[in-house]
Amino acid sequence: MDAQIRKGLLEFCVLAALRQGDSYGYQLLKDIPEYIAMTESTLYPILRRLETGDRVSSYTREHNGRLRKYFRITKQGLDYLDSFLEEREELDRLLDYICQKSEETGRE
Amino acid sequence: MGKKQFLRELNRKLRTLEKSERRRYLDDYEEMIADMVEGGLTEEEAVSRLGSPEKIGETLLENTEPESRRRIDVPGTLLAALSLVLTAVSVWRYLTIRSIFGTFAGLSEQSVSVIGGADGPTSIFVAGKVSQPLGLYAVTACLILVTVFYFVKKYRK
Repeated sequence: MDAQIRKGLLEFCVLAALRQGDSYGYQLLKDIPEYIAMTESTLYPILRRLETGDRVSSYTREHNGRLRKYFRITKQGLDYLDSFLEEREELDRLLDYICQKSEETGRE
Repeated sequence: MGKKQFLRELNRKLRTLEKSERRRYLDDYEEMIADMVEGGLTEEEAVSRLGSPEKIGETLLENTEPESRRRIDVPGTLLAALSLVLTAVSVWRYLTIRSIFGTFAGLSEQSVSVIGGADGPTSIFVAGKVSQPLGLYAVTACLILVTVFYFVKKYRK
């Protein structure tokens, strides 16, 4: 898959996960299923990018004598996620077309 | 590999990142290791589960926006260098003119000055303007001001 497309989709995955409630790195990775293939080295840059874009905010809380960073989805993040979901129909149509044309007999 | 070594190697791999970005990732990983240890792993197991700092660093760099890379501040360096050069030239000119013509060369123009006796070989005639080059000083002062503003603005962020 094109790296850009995957990056974009993974961003939405993280936003969707945070929609359920605030979370932190370790917890997010536990919650995001294996088949989505997210690792620490892909998650942290995504969180960073989301935070820079104000789609996510962060705060620290003390936990067992150390600091833990929590992430929370912002209103902009929710809007961003929702507008993507609204475009789901168009996305499905595009994917259907691509699949359909690839299954028909034609050029190999 | 222990946690300290892991973080050290990761820090090295990320050296092309801006300090704050690099610090952020290192904190993230330190937090992750602590959480993994709390989840039942040993530090060594957690580190080995994370993977090699080499690969991790590569992936982090790949996925981080180019704006977070450390850049040599070209305009800042240029401004500072030019200011330094002009200041040096200005000071040199000022001192040279002062030492040759004394305080008479102040702000007024003198088209000719005589050094030594007005007779014989010891006399030196200097034609042309010998006043302090106010233009040069003005430009130097302006440049210094611009440089100061530039760096103040940069580090105010």
